[in-house]
Amino acid sequence: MKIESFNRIQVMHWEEDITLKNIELFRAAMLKFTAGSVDYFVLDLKPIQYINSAGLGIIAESVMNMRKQQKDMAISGIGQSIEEIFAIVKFTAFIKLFPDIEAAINFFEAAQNDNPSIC
Amino acid sequence: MTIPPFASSGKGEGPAMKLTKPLTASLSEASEFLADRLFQSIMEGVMVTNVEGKILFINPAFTEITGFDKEVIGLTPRVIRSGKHSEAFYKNIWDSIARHGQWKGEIWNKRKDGQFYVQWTTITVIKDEKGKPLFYASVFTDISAKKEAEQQLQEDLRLARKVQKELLSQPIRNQDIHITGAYLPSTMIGGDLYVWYQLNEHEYSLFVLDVMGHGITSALLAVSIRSLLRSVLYETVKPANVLEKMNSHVYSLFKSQQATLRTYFISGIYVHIDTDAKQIRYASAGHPPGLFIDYTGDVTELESSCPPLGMIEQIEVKEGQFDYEGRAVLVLYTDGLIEHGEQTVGAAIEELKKMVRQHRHLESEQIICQLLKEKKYSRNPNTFEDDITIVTAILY
Repeated sequence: MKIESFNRIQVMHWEEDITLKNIELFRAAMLKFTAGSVDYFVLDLKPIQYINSAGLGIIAESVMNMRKQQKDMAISGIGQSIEEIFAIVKFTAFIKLFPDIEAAINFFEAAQNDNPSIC
Repeated sequence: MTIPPFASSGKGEGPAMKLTKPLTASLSEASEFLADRLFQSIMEGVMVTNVEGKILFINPAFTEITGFDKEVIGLTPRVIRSGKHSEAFYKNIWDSIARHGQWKGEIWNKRKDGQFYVQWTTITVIKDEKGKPLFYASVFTDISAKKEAEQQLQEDLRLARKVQKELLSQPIRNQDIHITGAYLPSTMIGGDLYVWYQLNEHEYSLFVLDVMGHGITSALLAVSIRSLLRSVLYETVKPANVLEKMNSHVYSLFKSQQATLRTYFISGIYVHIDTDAKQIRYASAGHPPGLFIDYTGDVTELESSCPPLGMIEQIEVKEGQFDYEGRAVLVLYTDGLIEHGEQTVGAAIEELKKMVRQHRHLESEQIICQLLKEKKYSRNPNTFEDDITIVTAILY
């Protein structure tokens, strides 16, 4: 796992398939972001090939939690196998998906310009 | 400083002991005193033998657990043997101590009153500075209550599994339709469920669902969803409405837990079959595509149109509908069947489609057996990662 920050945008690179073995680590990492002060969060899944159902639940819940706090989250770096899983669970219906980190950051930077921080 | 006799079990001498001259005592005396206090007061039973196997020291917890007091000093640990282990078992312990200096494991022993108990034991050899063994120290905890609780839990799980299996629908076989299913939980109980109802002479409802995760919580949720489905079907059989109502229910169940990222959700596919009209209507929420194979061998995927149930507050479910003629096969399953091995989900679905097309002429039970065989699943729990459910319906 690697973290990067770009202004009010934070990026977490998750580098392993999300399975029973690391699901609690993933949950803890996602909780840290959804409960933290970050306004925009990008979860980059570039190298990973598989997410189990609990992982999907954590992602969905994180998106909903951030929106409740007037924050936003996106997913980037989706490969073919993850795209197939996301297609089945229809994540496209409520989660912003981007082919790479740059596209996600560009999107949130544009959003920041539309909604500048008052702090 | 007064130090109590080390060989005693310490009864009547322990907790009231005080340092009489702590500030002037040497470090060595203080450590001896502390070691003895620890020996007397710890919850674990301690028994120290010499190299001949004669018991030299015991502590109060030893007496508490075994019922034996000072009368065992000078005897061997055989005094507490249960007779439940073979000589080979004890030989293995001593071999391990000789090789590694220590052995850890469970031993069944017998209390003074004849009652058997099981202890978690660590036996360590204590050597002099030249490496010559001086003593063997056995530190143990009575884990009988824990063992009993574990056995009770296993018994409860066996019963729960039986109840869960009872809740699965029984096959339907008539001139219009033959429905059957198989459920393979990855642990003792799981979160998959299949259920079907014959609504009248020519209408049938089939439902396959998969609660996220597996184990007790998922199984309970699956059972709760089954009763909910029954009541929903009294109100409507329209697939989109059925799934929307179930989504509201599941979402409200876990609303309060959303902040912890520990909610549950359910993927499911619902199919309504009218054998008179020869028509199928379906809706799927985040579930792997059901497969419909017509008499020519063409395969249609019954695709999901919305996220799984309980994931978001409101879902917009789209129904699919098509007519059939001749002998057709419907296969519904959970993701355990396609998330196996190195394949991507898409490749696994394609492979499944080929298998189903190839075996479409078989009876419904045989199709299931072939799929499991070719996907290399056995029917034993704990041999695969996720629960697996397959339902087949042959339509005539």
